[in-house]
Amino acid sequence: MKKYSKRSALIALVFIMMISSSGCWNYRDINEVSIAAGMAIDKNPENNKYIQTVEFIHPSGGKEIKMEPSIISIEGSTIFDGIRNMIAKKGKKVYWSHAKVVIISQDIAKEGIAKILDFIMRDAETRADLWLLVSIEKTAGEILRGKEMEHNGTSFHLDDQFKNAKSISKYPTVELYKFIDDLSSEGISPILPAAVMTKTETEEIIPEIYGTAVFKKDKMVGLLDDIESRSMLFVKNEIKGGVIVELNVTDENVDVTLEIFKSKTKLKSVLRDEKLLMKIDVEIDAGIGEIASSEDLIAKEGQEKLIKKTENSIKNQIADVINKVQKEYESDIFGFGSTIHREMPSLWEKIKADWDDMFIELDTEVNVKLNIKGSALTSKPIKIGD
Amino acid sequence: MINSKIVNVKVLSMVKIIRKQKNGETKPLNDSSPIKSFAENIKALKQLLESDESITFRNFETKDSAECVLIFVDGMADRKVINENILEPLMNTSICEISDKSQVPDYLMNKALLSDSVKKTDDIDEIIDSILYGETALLIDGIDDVLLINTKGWKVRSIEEPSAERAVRGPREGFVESIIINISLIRRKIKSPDLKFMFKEIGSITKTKVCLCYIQGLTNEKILNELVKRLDSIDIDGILASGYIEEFISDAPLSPFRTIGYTERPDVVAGKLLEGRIAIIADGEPCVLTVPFIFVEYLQASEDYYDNYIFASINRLLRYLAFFLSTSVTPIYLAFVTYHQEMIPTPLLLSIAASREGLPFPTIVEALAMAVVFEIIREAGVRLPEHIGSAVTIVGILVIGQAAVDARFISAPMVIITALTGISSLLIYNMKGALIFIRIAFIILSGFLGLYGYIFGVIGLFIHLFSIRSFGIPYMLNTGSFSPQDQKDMLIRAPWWYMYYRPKLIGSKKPIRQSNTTKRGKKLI
Repeated sequence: MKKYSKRSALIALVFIMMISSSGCWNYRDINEVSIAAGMAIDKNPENNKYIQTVEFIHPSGGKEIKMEPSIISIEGSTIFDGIRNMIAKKGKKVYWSHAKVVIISQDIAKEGIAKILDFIMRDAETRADLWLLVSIEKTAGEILRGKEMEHNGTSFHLDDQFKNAKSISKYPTVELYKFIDDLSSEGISPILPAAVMTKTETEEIIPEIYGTAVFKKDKMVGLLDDIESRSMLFVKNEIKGGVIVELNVTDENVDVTLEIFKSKTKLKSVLRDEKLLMKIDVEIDAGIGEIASSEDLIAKEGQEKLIKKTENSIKNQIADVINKVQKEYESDIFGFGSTIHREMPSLWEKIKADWDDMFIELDTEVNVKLNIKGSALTSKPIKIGD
Repeated sequence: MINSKIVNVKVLSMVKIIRKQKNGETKPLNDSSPIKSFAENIKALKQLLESDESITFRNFETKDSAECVLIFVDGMADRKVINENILEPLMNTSICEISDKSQVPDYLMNKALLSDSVKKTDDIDEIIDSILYGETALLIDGIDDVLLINTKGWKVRSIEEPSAERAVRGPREGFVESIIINISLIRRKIKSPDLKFMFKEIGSITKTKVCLCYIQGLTNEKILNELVKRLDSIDIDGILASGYIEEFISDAPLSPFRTIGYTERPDVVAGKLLEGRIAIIADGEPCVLTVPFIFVEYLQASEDYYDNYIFASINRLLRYLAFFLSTSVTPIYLAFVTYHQEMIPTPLLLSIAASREGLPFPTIVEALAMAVVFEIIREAGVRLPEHIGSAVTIVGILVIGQAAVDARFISAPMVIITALTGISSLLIYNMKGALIFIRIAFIILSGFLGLYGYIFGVIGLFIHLFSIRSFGIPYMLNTGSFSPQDQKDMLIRAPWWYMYYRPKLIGSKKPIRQSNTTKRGKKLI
């Protein structure tokens, strides 16, 4: 009996110690934190401090739940400093695990963004799958401050824009970890989507994602527009959907829109005449989404014309964007270097020091193959009678 | 106690009344005392059964005026049997012409008494016990022995469907309070000479009849012997229900989990007997115990075996899910909301946060309070007279459900979660005691340590479940087995033509359940 009570006393002791020494250390009820949805980072040119604009979501109400976004800006010498300064204004501690986006201003992006990403990557609460984007407006804060229509908060609006990007494929989607991965790898430079503000008919200003910000190392060097972005995504094999518009296929005003079902790009580095050549083979499966003409492009003859023309224009677009990046931005955002690294490791060891210069001069060969598939082949265009 | 009885008995003189001593020896009590008269014997019996007015002494004479008396308990004995089968023939019989008086009882047993069971005895304890159990004692002037005639006949509840174990498909009969009827219900299902019944008497005052029931050749004798040993060691004044026995013979008396099963359905008992288990029937209670009992039996319902096996398997899986839900939903919710907000999807987080905005109590207090309130409503509902049942429902739904949320005392998600927990626990109502205990323990662990604590709780629960045994059979028998044969009656209920074997260990004495013909028949399908 004595042994028994000793044992139970021991168990009780273990429990008490377990609970009192480790229990509750991180206890906080869900309503005791401010849920941050997104952050925009600017730099104050006057005192060189960071201005952080944070969007919070305030859920409230019993039966009818209301989500009210609120935006607070704060200054800090570093990112973490600014975030802690937030308590002085906000009261509650900021909770970062549900933050969706981090918007970086153009100024900071041009200066280099590695140092501000450290906190976001290091902190335990922030997620590595945050969307990163660059504001090409004057400040990043105004993107967050912009009105949006669908959601309770701009951050969620931006989150949706990225989540559904695969059906448009005109801007890249970059999570934090992907950016840092590209930044730290050899033979590839990172990119980020860019955001602008546009007016709607009701004179509201809403954020819009438009094009790509090109980085060299961690500094932004330039922009690509939407078609250039798509061509760039073709090269990077990141196209999962979207549409291709082919104007004036056979004649004036014969416009066809193709919907991409599947796209596969193979990069292959080859040595031809002692010279490096990057072969880019794009194979696209697409369906006819819209024929804005009564001309028959379904029949074999018309279809061949359509395929040929589209293949050609995609090929040109891709060649153009490669050329632009090579000549203007001099940054290997396509990952040609890492392809060579993967396929010819011994050669890469020799050329890696000079890769930046070699990239500019790198020859490329683009081949595009378009397959038209899908049930739209059976439905004839609308005929206009007399 | 014994002494006072002996004094009483001494007054009696049934010529040579024998008393059983405690050490088991028998010895004639009043060998030396002179033969007392018939009147004195009756007087003595009256004295022994003094101040019990339910006992009737009926004096009468046989055809040739031999004095007799019938002693029986009003209400326990069947008056019709006494009148027609005892009084009438005796009053028309002459016994005086029999010269050898010791032949009289045999003569009556053979020629006069219209009863299936008549016993001759001179043991005073047996006489008293029999009278109190509904038999009728016949004393005749000048005869040494007392005749005990079976006239048992009291009112019993009719056989009806047990309300706690209803089945849509399957037999609708349930056990009643009479052990004899209960035995007959089992016997009717298993018409085999191997079906054995072993009677015991437990309770020094109540003298409750307890019957062990098993199928010889299927039951493991070691388990049977162990059970008999444990039953024999029970020393208590009274047993009113099988629950008393259950606690005395349980392997894990401190555990919230039962290691002995109970059921009110004869078909379930028959099914368990066929698997090599042993049933314990106690007189006076419709719940029959079965041993050994393992964990999965909580999750098996009788209907599983009567209905389509696909449907039955779905139901079985639902019961496993219900076990998880009713123990774990509240603790996991609590851990997520108070420690691991990052694990909740954003829209859900926002709506939980909205409903919790401005609430007075921390989530753990809310969780504990709601768990207790649910148990209060449940307990009230169980023991309530039927016509106030609706009041509890109204209070439960309106006050706890709506008003508390509207008044912003309790958050709406917590009400939903408590309701889900409650409904789930009703799916496995058998396990209610263990479920409440586990749920409260998990809530406290989660509230103090988050998911970490919950995982601790789960590990502790598993260690406990895997460590206990029921009559030597591991409680979680076959749970960890990957052999399909072992899993046929666990997570799913396999088709009958596929269950060739009896459960491992329990029915291992004769493991084959079906012949090869059935197997061949299966192949034809």
